[in-house]
Amino acid sequence: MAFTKKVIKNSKDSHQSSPGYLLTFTRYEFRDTVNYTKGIDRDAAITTRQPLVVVSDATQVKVNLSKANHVPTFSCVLKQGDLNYLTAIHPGDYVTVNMVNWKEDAMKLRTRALQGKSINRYDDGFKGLFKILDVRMTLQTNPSTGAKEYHVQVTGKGFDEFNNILYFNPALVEDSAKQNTDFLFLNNFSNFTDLIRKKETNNVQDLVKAIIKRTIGEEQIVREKNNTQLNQIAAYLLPTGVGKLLNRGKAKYISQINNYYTGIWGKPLSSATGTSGFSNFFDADGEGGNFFKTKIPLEGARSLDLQDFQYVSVWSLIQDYGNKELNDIYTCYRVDKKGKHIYPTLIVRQKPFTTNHYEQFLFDKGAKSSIEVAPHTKFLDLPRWDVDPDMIVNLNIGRSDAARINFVQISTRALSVDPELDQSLQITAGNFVEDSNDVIRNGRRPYVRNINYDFTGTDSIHRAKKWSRLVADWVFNGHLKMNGTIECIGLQDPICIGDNLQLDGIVYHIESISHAMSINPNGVNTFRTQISLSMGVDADSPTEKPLWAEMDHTDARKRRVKDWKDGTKILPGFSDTQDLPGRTKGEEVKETEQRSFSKPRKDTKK
Amino acid sequence: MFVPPSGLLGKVSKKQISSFNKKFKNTPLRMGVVTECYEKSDEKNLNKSVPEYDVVTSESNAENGQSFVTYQNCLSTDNFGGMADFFQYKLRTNTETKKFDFKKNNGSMVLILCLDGSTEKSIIIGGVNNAARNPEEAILPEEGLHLEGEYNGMNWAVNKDGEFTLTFKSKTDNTGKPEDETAGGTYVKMDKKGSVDINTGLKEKEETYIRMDKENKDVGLKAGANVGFTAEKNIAMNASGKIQGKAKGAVEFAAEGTAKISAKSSLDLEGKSVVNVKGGNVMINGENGVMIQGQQCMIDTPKVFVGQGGTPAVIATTKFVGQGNHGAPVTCQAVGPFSSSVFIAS
Repeated sequence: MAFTKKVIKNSKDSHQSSPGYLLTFTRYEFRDTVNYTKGIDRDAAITTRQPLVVVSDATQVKVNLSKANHVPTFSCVLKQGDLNYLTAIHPGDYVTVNMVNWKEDAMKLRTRALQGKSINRYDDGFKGLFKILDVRMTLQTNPSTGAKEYHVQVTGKGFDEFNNILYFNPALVEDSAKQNTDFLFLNNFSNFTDLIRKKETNNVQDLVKAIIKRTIGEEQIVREKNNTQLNQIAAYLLPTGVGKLLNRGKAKYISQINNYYTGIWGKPLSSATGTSGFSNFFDADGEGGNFFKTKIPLEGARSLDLQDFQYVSVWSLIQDYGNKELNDIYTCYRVDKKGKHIYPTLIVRQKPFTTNHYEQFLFDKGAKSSIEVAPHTKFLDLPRWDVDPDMIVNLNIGRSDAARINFVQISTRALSVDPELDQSLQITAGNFVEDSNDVIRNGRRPYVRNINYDFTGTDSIHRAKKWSRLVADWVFNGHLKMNGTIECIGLQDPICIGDNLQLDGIVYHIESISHAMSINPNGVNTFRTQISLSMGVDADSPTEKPLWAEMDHTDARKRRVKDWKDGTKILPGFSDTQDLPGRTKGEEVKETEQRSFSKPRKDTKK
Repeated sequence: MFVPPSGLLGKVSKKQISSFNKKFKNTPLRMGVVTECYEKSDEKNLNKSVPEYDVVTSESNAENGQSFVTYQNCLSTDNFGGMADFFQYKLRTNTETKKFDFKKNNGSMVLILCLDGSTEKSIIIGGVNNAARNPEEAILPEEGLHLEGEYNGMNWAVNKDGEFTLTFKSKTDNTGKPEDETAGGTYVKMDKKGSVDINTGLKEKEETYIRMDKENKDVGLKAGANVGFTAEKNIAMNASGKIQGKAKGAVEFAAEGTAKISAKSSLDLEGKSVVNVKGGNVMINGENGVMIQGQQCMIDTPKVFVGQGGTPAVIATTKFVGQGNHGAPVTCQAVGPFSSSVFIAS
């Protein structure tokens, strides 16, 4: 059973009647770095003013996080009260966002923020660290009353360091006289290139880590003037004070704030209890800093080429080198390994969508031995959030034919000059899988990809074959998996994209989360969390054959009885069979009959 | 609303994968300079069949600025591409330290395209004029329609008159400077009259050439030193007119078999000092006569026969008839010495 964290109501009725938020703005002292920082050292140039802590003036606060976008967004609307926010806040400043169940808790956080203490503990409702993007004033006049409304709208984005554009021109390296360390050149990266420009079975994980270290920086790495060592890439500077708010008081660089998790998650390392269970897959990387890794390295290998570093963002580079067809690469705000604090986190892992019956699927497709089993993460082993159904206020779930896939072909590197990497060999090796019975009913729905990360290495089974089956297991039967959105009472807990969510016996993958808090003109605070979900399968899906969600109860009454008996109680009451006078022979042909479309669960047999 | 699983069915923005696209959707034609060559025995050579090259290109990417990019392990084209038919050559690699300064980089300047748009599969499809090449060596306006090429000191050209010249300069370095200028200068030329000149380029006494003059139908052969004719079988010299030979030194013909000099009219053998005729038997056969003329005529031989079946010229019975002091005939008999070397027929 995967680690599951229940989110339950904290009272019998409302869970939260007066939620609160905390916006802590960390503002640079010097905004004009061209003209106002001359003659002062760098540390002085990044000094900040007293944090600006907002707990009342915001009428709207919203945070969006999505696996599909590495940049989480923040927005708020501030009433112009005592403070002129248009002047007080500036693009490039930082803001941390907390959303909590109670206003009192927000006030306690406010005190800690002003004291320079951490506000990212597990129960602090920490929702993210953002860099301010826009600060705009809006002024509206009511044409009938002449009353003016005056707001300042602030937007921000997280993980902006990954948007850093790399500019590398080797000609500048060649001429040392022209070196300008004020830019983020990748000088001397060529040494690193030589180091790893050889065929390795798997080097994707090392490449990704190396890219992070050299483009974002790592702990203790300082960019110095005229330093031509490998660490010349600047660690991304952080304004003073932000580190303290995030429990890393000595942090001067964003690299010291972020956590990095790499590797295939596989099975949890132990049966953890408490909130450390969310990270019960990782060990310290052994390289210092905030790098953690799992027991199983990411698969794929490729060479590192300097030209890839020319005028691209760090994020696109990580995507490029991270074998994105196999791997999940996303940013989030996630509880740390100890389960105590929430940190900005980059996760690079294999896509964790392997079914419980993956091995059986392989043998059904002709696998001869277990060497054809690729390293993987079972979907149902991911940590789960179990949100109390009583907290759900809106739900829209279902299935879609858009997710139907019945043919998968994965091609790996094909170099016409290298006979070992010939395309025809891959097909001969069996790099495709088909669900023939679905093809003849629905036509071909292909999922065809090239994965350019496979020097043949030492694998016994051609990776094109191995990976095609791994991916097929992820995407086949997509039309049977549940997806949709739920909206619930705002979640103070650090629910995280990339984890799973269990609801009503179905385990979903969390694709995106949106936290929104607002105050209406009557002064009523509302806090809601909207979650997008995908890949929903039955929580009890066994190893021999899949068990699909919502396949058993063709009878509405029995479905609702189950809902009541298992304690979910999310469905409305039941109004008996709809055989009203004059409405004979309706939808129900035979009263209360139900026939499962899947392997029936024990408790749902007739 | 359908929520696709990101990374599987969800759409990815171009911006997020710009690096990937740069690597695998690299379709523009690029120009660069060859900086490295990996022979097929090199561990960095991927195909293990033909040489591969690293090429540094200078790229301009629309709004994304300019930069130098190194394409690794590029193949070069083979015009014929057959198992039997091929056209292979090596490209020059840069030997200068500043490989990004194209004015100084002396490697081959080439054009590359990427197979399937993949940077990992770059092909050198041709070359362009090297930026560092001496502009004076480029085709001049007055040269008109002109073709010229050179590879490692071997130059070939077809000029506006259609004349073809193949010139050997000797092995050259990356700048085109010949290593051995003494050896260089040899050329083969076919001129606009159709004549062919194979010439070492040597001057005056050293001039050495073979010329075939199509207009005058002449063949000229000149050597600054020696000319040798060697054949395992026969050498034939035929001329409708004369055959002349002149040597400031000796003239020597030797035959291990028979030798024959014949003339349908007179045959003159002349030596300013001694004319030696030597043989096992020397036969002088004059159909009309033989004349030996000189201040002296000495026949140095143990026996001399004059006429056929002759007897010794003086023996014991040989009598001599003469005239005495008073005018009366006198007959006398030889008393010796008698001749056994000179025989005279009657």
